[in-house]
Formats: sequence, C-alpha cells, structure tokens
Amino acid sequence: MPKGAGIGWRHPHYQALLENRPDIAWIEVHSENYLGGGRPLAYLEKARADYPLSLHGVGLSLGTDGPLDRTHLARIKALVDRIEPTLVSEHVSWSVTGGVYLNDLLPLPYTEESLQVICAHVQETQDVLGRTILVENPSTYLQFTHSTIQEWEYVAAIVDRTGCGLLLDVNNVYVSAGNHGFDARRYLEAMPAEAVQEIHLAGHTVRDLGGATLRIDDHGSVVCDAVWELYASAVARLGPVPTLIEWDSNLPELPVLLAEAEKADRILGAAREARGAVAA
Amino acid sequence: MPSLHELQAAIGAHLLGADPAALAPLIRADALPFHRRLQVYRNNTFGSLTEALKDTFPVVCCLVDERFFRYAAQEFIRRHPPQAPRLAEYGALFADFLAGFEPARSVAYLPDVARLEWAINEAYHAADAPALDPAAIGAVPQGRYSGLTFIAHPSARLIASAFPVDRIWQAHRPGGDLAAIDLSSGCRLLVDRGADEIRFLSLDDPHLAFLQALFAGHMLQDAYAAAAVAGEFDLMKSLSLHLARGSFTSFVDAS
Repeated sequence: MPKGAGIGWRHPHYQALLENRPDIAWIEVHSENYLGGGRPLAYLEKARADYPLSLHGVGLSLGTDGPLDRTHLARIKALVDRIEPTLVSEHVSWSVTGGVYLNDLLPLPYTEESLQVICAHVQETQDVLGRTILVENPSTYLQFTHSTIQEWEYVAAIVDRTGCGLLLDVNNVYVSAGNHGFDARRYLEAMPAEAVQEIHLAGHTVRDLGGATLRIDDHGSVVCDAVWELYASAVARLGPVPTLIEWDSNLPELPVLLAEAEKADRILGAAREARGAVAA
Repeated sequence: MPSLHELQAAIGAHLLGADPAALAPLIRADALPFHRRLQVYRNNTFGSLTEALKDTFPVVCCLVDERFFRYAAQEFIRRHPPQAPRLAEYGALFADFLAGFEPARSVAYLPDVARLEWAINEAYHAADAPALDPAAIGAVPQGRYSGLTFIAHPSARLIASAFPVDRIWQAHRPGGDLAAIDLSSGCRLLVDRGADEIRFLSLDDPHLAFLQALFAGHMLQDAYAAAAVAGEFDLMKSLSLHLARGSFTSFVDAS
C-alpha cells in the first residue's frame, strides 16, 4: 500500500470519486457492502482499476465466543479473491451473540479466555483467506471489572500470537484514553511498530453526561487537533504509514474528505523528511 | 466472573431491551453510572440499524415523517433484529411488520410501498448476469417453444398492489407531486435492474400472471394458459419484449 493518505469510500461518493478521480493514494471500503454483487460491486471494480484498495470488515465478529460465522467468512473470501485488495482488516471487538448481529463494535473483556478466542478466530480467518489480516484497536465506552490485561497489551498479544498486522486507529486510542483515563502516548508506544501497516483517523464527539464526559467515536466530523498531534507523534515514531480518513455519519462533500487526506499527507511528508535527515 | 459466552449473551439481551441490572457488577464504576455507558452501545445499535432501514425504505420514511419512522423502526429492530452482518439484507420482514403495526394503520398503502422499496433494494444488490441471447431462442424449433422454461434475471421482482405504489414512489423523486396521484387505482409491476438503474415495467393482469408462472419455473405453455385465464394476452409480443429487456438469463428445453 502506498505510504500516503487515502479516504473511506462510501455510497454517497460513488459517482463523485469515479467522475473526478481525485489524486489520493488509495481507498478503503467496508467489505460487507459488496458481498451481494450487483451495482455496489460494479462500482467497486471500477474504482479498483484506478486505486489501491483496502477491504475493511465490520461483520466477522472476531471476538464472539464459539465458532466463526463460516458462511460470512466464505463470502468475504470470495470478495477478497475477486477484488485482490492490498489490505484486509477487521476489529478487536465482537458484534454477534445468539445469532443476532448487533451492528456495533462491542467491547471485549481483556482476559486470557477472550484472547484465546480472538486469536483462534484471527488465525482461522488468515488460514481461510490465505493471507495475513490487520486488526484494529477499538474505541470503548466501558471497562469490565474482570479484565486482567491492559488494552494495549491485549492488542499487542494478538499480533504476537497470530502474526497478524495492526491497523492503528489513532482516534480510537484518543477516545478510549479519554474515556478510561489512561495515557494515549503510552498506548502508542506499546504498539509493535513493525506490525503497524495502516493508520485510521476520524472525528469523534464529546458528550457531556451530567458531570462526566464521554468521547464517542462517530466518524462524523473533521479530525480534532489533539488527534492530529497524536498522529504526528505516531508517524514520527513509526515512519510513514498508509493513513486513512474515515467518515461515516453526516458525510460532507468529497472535497472535505480530500482536504483531510491532504493534511495527513503533509504530516506524512514531514515524517519522511525527518527520517531522510536522520539517514543522511 | 462470567464466561465470555455468558457476558456476550447478557450484553446482547440488554442491547435489545432487557434490564441491565445483572451487568452492574461487571462494569467498572466511576463518575458515570454503568447504565449510561451501556446506553452508548444501545444508541449505536438502534441508531445505526434505524439508519440502515431508512436507507432501504426512504419513501416509507417520507410518508410517515422521520419521528414516526424511528418509532416504527425501533419496534421492528426489537422484534426482528438482524441475523446476518449484512445490512443490505436487513428489512425483508419490514413490510409485513408494518402491515401488522397498529399505529401505522391509517396509511393503508404503507406496507405495499415498503414491499416495492424492498424489491428495489434486492434488485440493486442482485448479482450481475448476462441476458439471454434472443438468437439462442431463435435456434429452437417453434414446435418446442411450449415446453421451454425460463430463468429470471436475478434482479427481477414482481409487485402487485391495490395502491399505485409505483406512482407514490415516483412522486418522491425530484419534481414529483404526491397530491396529484389518484390513490384508488392499483398497480402491477416488474421491477428489475437494467444496464445501470432500477426499472419499472407496468403490467396488466394477464401479463402479471404470465410472469408469475414463468418465474415460478412453469413451462411456457402453462404460463400462457395462466395468462389467458386472466384476460387477453399476446404471447409473442410479451416474449419479444422480455427478450429485448433482458428479463431472462437462460432457458431450459424441458419437453
């Protein structure tokens, strides 16, 4: 994947992207929107001809106890085989229980039991797809009393045990750090640098809930200044990493996303220069 | 300490409506009560699924206004949560739900508008398939036509309603005017996806009966008989129309 900035490509921007072919390094889509074929897949194949592509899954529910949904995994595999994306990713979360899909990335208890479950599912996914996948660190709004492992250690352990890559969502780190009072920079430093193959950036909202505030990851606004700063320090440590602007609610016109991608590109450029200076 | 399985079952049950009390000892306490933290996830589940239903049923949403739609969607999600992680397939039961939803009774055509929007959604996501080459039919001796069966294009759906749901739907496109529609006339439609967009073909009763029979896998002679019972029907004209439109992908000589 080019070490530049890309955007999440959503339905309202199908035409605008294909007609204007903006100068971005790559695009990412949600795999689940293309499993049926039809018009969405036709659009995706058109875009695929012009841009490197990442397939980002939201439905495998890697953290659900019990067997993976093999029907769903087979459909993902068919899409991966057809589209041949540069990257395939999923989440450190769960969204299915008792056969019901709750359509949200729900938090896991960070225990040895759940770690074994998610690692087995990452492994199975990689075996079926015949490639490594990336897993993304979550945004969370609660912590379980029986968790025994810190989130950053948990995420690093999945990488360590399965050989998967890491999709580092810097906004999620910021959101979770704020919600649970831990140090975002310490989290970033605990991420295995060589495993980080992609970074996500997005906007979130801050909600005042009578005395306490909660940061909510809604992908519905520009990236906030504090997350840009955190991002700059992440790429200063990691070097340039393919970076994606995600925007899913209150979607603005395409140029707004492109401007965010340009901003990320400038920070990546600075990291590249700094590295060059060090090497020279 | 609950097992992962027990924890996920309890959270799932709460997100769909169960009392959260059992979860209290499992969630770290601080300035924010545990149920307010869970509320974020409930809002996400209901909010995102409501948005998904709104994307699939935009005209239903316009007809009842957004607030009522949210109320109906919430009831629907509680009773019929999605069974698969693919939102384009969520909402197959929404029209039937609306038909039995007492607060929506006053808008009699609402369930049928939902049926039309579901057909459009399925047509949009249906797999691509090449249309049947008319020359292939031309190569069949005329005497064998009666025994042919046809495979419908994956996007083809038939709709029959006592209300003009096609015109109600079109009235919600730019420049449409709902007030100008006579709501007393029904409609019969073939909905499918053409080269680039969703198409409606208005049908009369015999034509509808003909396609219903063919799509159900009946032989051409039986489909013709079903059409003829319903009224006057020009078989060759209909057949060439559908060959030109690409309504079928293949045929089988079953005789």
